[in-house]
Amino acid sequence: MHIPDGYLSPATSVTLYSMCVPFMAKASKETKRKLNDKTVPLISLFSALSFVIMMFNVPLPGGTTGHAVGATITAIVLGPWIAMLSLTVALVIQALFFGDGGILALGANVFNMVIVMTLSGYFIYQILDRWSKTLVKRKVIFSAVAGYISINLAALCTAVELGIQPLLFHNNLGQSLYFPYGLNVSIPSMLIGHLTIAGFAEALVTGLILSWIYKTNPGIMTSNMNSVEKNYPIVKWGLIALGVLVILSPLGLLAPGTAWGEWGRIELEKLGLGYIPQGFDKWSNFWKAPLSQYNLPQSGNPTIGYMFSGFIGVFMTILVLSGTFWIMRRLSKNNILKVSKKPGKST
Amino acid sequence: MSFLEQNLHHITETLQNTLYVEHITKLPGLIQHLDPRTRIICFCLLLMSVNLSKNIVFILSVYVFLLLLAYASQIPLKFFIMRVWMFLPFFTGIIALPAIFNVFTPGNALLTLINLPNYHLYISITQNGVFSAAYLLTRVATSVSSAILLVLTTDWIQLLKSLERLHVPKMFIIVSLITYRYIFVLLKTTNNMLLSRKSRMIGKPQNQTHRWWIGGTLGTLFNKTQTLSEDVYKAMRSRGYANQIIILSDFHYQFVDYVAIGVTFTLIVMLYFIWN
Amino acid sequence: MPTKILFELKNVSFTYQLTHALDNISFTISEGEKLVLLGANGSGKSTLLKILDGLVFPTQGIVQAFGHTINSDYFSKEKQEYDFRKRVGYIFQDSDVQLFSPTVWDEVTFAPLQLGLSQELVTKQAESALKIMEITHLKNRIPFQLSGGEKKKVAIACVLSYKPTVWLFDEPTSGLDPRSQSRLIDFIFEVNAQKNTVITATHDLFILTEIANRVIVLSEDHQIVADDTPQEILADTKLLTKHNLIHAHIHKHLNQEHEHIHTHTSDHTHLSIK
Repeated sequence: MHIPDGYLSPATSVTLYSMCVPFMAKASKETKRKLNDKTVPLISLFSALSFVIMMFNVPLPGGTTGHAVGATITAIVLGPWIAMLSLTVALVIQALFFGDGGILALGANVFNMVIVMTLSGYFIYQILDRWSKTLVKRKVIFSAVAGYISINLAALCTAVELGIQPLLFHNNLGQSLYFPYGLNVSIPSMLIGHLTIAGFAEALVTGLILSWIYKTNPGIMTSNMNSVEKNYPIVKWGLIALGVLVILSPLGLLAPGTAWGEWGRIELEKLGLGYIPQGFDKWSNFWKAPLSQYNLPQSGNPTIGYMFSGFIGVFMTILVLSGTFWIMRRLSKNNILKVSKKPGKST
Repeated sequence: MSFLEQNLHHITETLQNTLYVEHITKLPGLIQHLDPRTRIICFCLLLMSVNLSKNIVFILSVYVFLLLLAYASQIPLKFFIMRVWMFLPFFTGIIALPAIFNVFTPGNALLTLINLPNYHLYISITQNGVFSAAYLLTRVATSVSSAILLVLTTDWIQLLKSLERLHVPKMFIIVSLITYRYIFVLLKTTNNMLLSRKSRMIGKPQNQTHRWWIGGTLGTLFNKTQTLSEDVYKAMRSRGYANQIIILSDFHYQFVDYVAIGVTFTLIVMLYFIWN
Repeated sequence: MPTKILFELKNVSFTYQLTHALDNISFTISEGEKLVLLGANGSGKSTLLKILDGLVFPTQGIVQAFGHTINSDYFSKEKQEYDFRKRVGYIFQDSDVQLFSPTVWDEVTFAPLQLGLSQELVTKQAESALKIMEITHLKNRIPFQLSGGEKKKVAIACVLSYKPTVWLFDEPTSGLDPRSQSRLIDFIFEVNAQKNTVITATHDLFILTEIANRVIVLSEDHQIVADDTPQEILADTKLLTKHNLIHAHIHKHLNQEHEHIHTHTSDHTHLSIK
């Protein structure tokens, strides 16, 4: 999943770098508060471990092998913040010294493989853990599920970052300057690989390490290191989740149509596809009304139009999400705040 | 090749690679004479220009410039070129290839491969497709080459230390330095675990036993890392570490450093105007 | 001539995760002593060294060093901790733990830099430490490329570079080949001859007479069971057998049957001492 340099436009790279900054700042603050002067050795050692895990081949069902990132397990054991710093350092060393992943693309790689994975992995696990009833077997399975989902989320983010390249960055002849495929190609191809192979590698590594830790050194799980601050307001987590969704927002635009939904009728004709799928006209007319093929009416500039549509997409996602949160809160008497409170209990 | 051997091979390769790189960084070449900060600045200039450019010829000229630099820095050119082009076709090449067809990139057909209008089937290689693929390939190859050039000529430790003078947070530098040190300790431990496993392996074990064993290996590493970090903390504390680390560094800009930055910058600007 | 007392331990106990590592230990260490803490694996001698180095604090009891009570309160003043650190050096059993810096030179300069010496002094002392240990040629090497013996030399050099007056060695001979072992023993002798205090934790009986003029024996239930000269301790086979430091074996060599007294070395190979 390491994106090399040359796949992303500098604009995308810089955006993703800047998106990493607040998370890193938060992570170093939290880590320093929790560990004080033990931070340096602990982060260093676990960075080294992440590095080793990332280069470890895991045999998968069906005879293939795959690599895991190991972000979920690190986040579950050490907490998302310490895990975030450790994995970032490991990625930096991979990029700078071993040439794995680009240097301009480092922000993107850190965002996908570190921020998205540690946060989603940790919180999916914490939410599922409510049903584990302290049964180790269930915890192990839940951790594997969290690992599977989080690596696929990361793959999705990667696919979106790559897939928006041809739309936003091409020269006036229509030649794409960076990654040449749109979301319709990048999302399925990334997800197929991760849903089938890398997902299982991550799930296996997460589950196996956790079961081993429970067998040999359960004390590490009850130490206060992996707990997130007790009264952490859910609002902030909602915001972080939204941050992830901002990246995913182009998906919101895709949702109503088919996978080809983002291409207008004329573009399809330009594509050289000799025919227009039946019913496409109907869909595109339907869609023309609210968003007018992503272009602002009379704007003429596809990029601005796309971005504008993007913002609308984000806005709509926020609406849908806040609605969902609200409904979830009302549905469960122990409102969702408990989720983030729970790990604090062990301290 | 079993996964055990794959892993063993991978680890050995990594270790050997670092030794070879260390050998090159000590050669008396052109880049090796520059201050690490100069190299970083020049490298960033080149990388940015390559990634911002909309002109393939410009990107290729930068690649040629990198080849010249590599030659002047006593890096075996065959090694330098192969290191990029051995893997590039398998990764980026496979990704770039389908883009040349009209299915993915519409445009003027350069070559029609299949044309069956009755079945609505039309496949051709398009001009835009070829250019899109070429953009990706040249950009990736040149970016990767510039990174490799930096890595091959620069002692990683020197590089990190010099970053402190470029106002990178010190905590990050120190963590990276210690991480770098312990990557090798952990790799060696993993290697020993793999070898001892291999020596006790009779017949062809089930994948499932393998997987359990992996859980054990990685789990053991996890526990070991935890204790190791406690011990390393004590070792640091014992020798006077208390939240602050002082780095002993003596980097000095020389005249040649300013010249190098100037030349790189001028060259990029010149190439830009020539090809646009 | 009355000797100065450097360390005084009063009823020190240490408990870690519900298990005892030390149980009610009291003794004093005077300036210039050559003390060995003798005990089987798990007797708590490493923990005791860590307490002497102020890395962990006892769960019960008092530790005094250089006339001050050593606890986290005392170390909360940075200057007081630095004063203590400057006087005490600790050589860890596992050199990979001790050598955390990227290169040998960084390692050797780490402590003097941290302890606030000037850059010139740091360079001077580090260079002389490398010279004394005869490892100047390793200066720019990465610790991972070094052999076990070389790592131990670097570990010593990085303590030597700030010239502490109290030296703590944890299992110094473990994993070393015979020549490196004997050089290490010479070094310990040399350090002590310059009026420094040397405290060594070991279960290696071979080196006892050479590196000790006083031996404290720790039992497997973490208490002090003997405090005497090495000669007296070595002569007391009963004591040594009881505390798992030697054990009797009957061998058959061809047709001849005879009895050996064996000692465990760190590698758990068996070597006879007589």
